[in-house]
Parts: sequence; structure tokens; C-alpha cells
Amino acid sequence: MDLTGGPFWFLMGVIFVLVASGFHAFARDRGWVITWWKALLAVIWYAIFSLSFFAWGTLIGENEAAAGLKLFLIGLFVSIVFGVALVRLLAHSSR
Amino acid sequence: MNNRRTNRVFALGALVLIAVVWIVSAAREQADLMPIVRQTVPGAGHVIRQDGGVFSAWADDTETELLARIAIGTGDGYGGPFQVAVAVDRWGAVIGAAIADEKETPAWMERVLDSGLIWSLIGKSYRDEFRLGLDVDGVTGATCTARALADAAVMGSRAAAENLGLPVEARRPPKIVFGIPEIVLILLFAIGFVGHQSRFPYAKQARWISMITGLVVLGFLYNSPVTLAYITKLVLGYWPQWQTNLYWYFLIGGILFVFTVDNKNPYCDWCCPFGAAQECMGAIGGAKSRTPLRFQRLLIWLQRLLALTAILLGVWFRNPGVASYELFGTLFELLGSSVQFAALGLVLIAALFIKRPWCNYLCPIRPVVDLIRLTRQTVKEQWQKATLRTPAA
Repeated sequence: MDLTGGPFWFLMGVIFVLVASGFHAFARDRGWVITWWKALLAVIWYAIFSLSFFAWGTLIGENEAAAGLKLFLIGLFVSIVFGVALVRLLAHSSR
Repeated sequence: MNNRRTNRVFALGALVLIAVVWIVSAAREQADLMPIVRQTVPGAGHVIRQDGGVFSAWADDTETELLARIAIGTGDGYGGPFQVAVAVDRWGAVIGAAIADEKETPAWMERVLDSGLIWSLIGKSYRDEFRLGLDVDGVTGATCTARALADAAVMGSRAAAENLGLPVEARRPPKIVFGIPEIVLILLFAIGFVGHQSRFPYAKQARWISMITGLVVLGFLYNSPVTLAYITKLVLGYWPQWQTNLYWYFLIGGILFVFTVDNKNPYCDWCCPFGAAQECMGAIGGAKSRTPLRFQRLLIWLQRLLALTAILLGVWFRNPGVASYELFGTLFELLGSSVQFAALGLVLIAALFIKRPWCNYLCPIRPVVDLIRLTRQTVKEQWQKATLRTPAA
């Protein structure tokens, strides 16, 4: 069985559903009002974050591990900055 | 001992220490140039030093066949004098060149060496101007170092040609370099001066405009923030040619002038590009000043100790770039080691939560600014005391 094909994306889908429901519960506990555009921003953040890992893995497969690590670190940096801004935005607009 | 007296005693101690290291390092700076000179003409069997600091490379000990005259030329590098040994044959062509001394930041120097600029000098005539990008190859991202190398090569080749008896025309004075960075810097100082006035109602907006302009122009476009190397260069007495280094004079002179007149720092909080980058991160993350009160003095003194150590190392090695630990080039030129990139990432992430972490805890410029402020205050107080005493006497 090819673990990098269907099962991998199935696992990614499961993780995404768990993350989304976790985020929903977290937002409810905090009293954040999640509108469609806030949810969209959160999905974009999750896409950037997970793409950093996917890009790293892909580049390792292409024998470009060093470039992959650099791209991953840049992606992680962008995710942290964007994540902090997103949390502040969500927390601010709920008041 | 109160805080002010402690500061004065330590400031005086630091100045004395720098002076001692300066004198000791100046006394031991006598480089042996012969190995470098030999590199320029590897085929020479006999190389001797003549009067006037010019060397002669002969085919053998009989001194019958002159291969080249070699002279040391000097250019203005980023960290100080940049010396190149240039070998010129009897017809005035450059047949060899080697770097005799340089005080550049290693990453920039590496870029210039990798570019092969020094090899592109071979075969040129002493009459050539060695203009970057025209007569010889330019080096993107290390223009100052590349220009210093080319200038040094021009000086060296002309000195060697003159010694060979070839006709050497007087060199035209260099063109005054006054462009966008200089204009922007003057404008930023002007904005800072106006913004510091207590009656000016738009200080906050003016400061943000100044910071963003500084970040884009002085940071990302020209990568010209104040670095410790500038200060060490000043301490070492390496005054660059004014025609091509107006920016340097405006920057250092402007800061000293505004401080003397206004007692306000026109640079750090208003137009330092790295400070602006941190403030932008702080605006995203809602950064606050988070220094615990009981560690405040300790952190200030650690920062001062770090800056003093860096200056002492720069003076000891007589190389301003050697101990510069700033991350400016890493951010604005994306040039640096893995450790520098890791440190930059940490500083920028920390800036999301802590107000200007680099400026408050690590930047070597802040202690220098504190020293200028303290000196001004002390001189002013002594002056006032003296003028008050005079009528009574």
C-alpha cells in the first residue's frame, strides 16, 4: 500500500476536521464571534502552516533537504506572525 | 555612590580603556607586506623593497630583467582603509594584484572574493579608471567593498607606473556622491527635529512616516543603518573620503549635531530601519515593554558591557567590522550565517510581544548614545558651574 498517496491525504483530512472542530470549541470558550471572513482567514492561516510542512517533505523527497528546511522555517515564521495577528484580530473584534 | 556618579565613573573608565587599547594596538600594527607582494608576481625570483614603499620584482638575483614594480594602493572600505598590492609591468599593464589589508565585514568580503573582481584587474592599463561595471566587474550587494578594492587598485597601479617612469596624469578628484540615501537621511532628520518639538501636534504620525521611510529606503533599498563599525571607525580615526562618503558624514555628524543642540536622539526611535522593523512587528503583536524592574539595571549594564567589548575588539584588531554583531545585513540583504538568521528570527518573533527587544537589550548603538548624552550633560554642568563661579571670583 502506498502510504504517500490516498491514506496520507485521508489522514490530513481527519487532522483538518479535528483542528477545525478544536478551533470552533476554542473560539466558543473565548467568546469569539466567528464570521465567514474570520473563518476564511483561519483556513488561510492553517493552509500556510501546513503547506510549510508539506513543502519541507516534498523537497526532502527531491533531495533538496537544506532548501526544504529553509522554506519550512520561512513558512513557520510567516505562520507565527500571521497567527499572532489573527488571534489579536479575533480577540479584538469579539469585544 | 548615586546612579549618575556611577554612570560617569564607568563612562570615564570605558573611555580610558578604549584609549589604552587604541595605543597598544597602534603600536603593534606593523604588517609584513613582503609575502603579499610576492603573491602578485609568483614567477619573480627576487623581490626587493625600494624607497617610497614601492617594490621591484626581478627575474633573478642578478637584477637584470625587471618583471614588475609593485605598489600598495589604498581605498576607503566599509570598515577602514582597504589596501591592495598591484604589480605593473614595464609597459604599464597590471600583471598581478593581491589584497594586502582589509577591514571589511566577512560576509561582504567573501562575496567580493567569490566574484573574481580582483582577477578582472589583470591585463588592465594603469591609465584605466577601473570603474565598477564598466572597466571591471561590479559586485551586487557589496558595492562599498568592491569600490574600495577598485580604488585601491587604481592608486597602486598609478604609483607603480610613476615609479617605472611612465607618464601619469593627475587624477581627477572623485565625483561627489549625493543621491537618494543622503536626501532621505536629511529629510528624516528634519522630520525628527520637527516631530520632537513639544508643540507639534502630529508627532505620532510623523514618527511612523519617518520609521517606514527609514525601513524602506535606509533599510531594504540601501542597507545603510548606523552600525557599531561606523562608531569604531570613528574611534580608530578612519575618516573616509568625504566626496564618496557624504552619507556617513551626514549620519554621524547629524546625530552628534542634533544631540548637541537639542539633546534628542534623532535616529534610534525615529528612523533606524531595524528599530522600525521591530515596531512593525510590535504593532502586529501588541508588544509592550516587559522588562522586570529588578533586572532593568542589570540588563542595561549587560548591554553596555557587550557594546564595550565589541568596540574594544574592533580597536584591538584595528578592524571595525570584526566585532560587529548586528543583524541588519541579515534582514536587509538576506546575508549572514545560520546563527545570524536564527537570531534574527528570534528577535523578530520576540518583537511581536516585547517592545523593541533588540534596541532595549542588545543593540550596541544605545550605550553609545547614552555615552554621548552623559558627556553632553557633564560638559554642560561643568560649564554652568564655571560660569557661575566666575562673577563671584
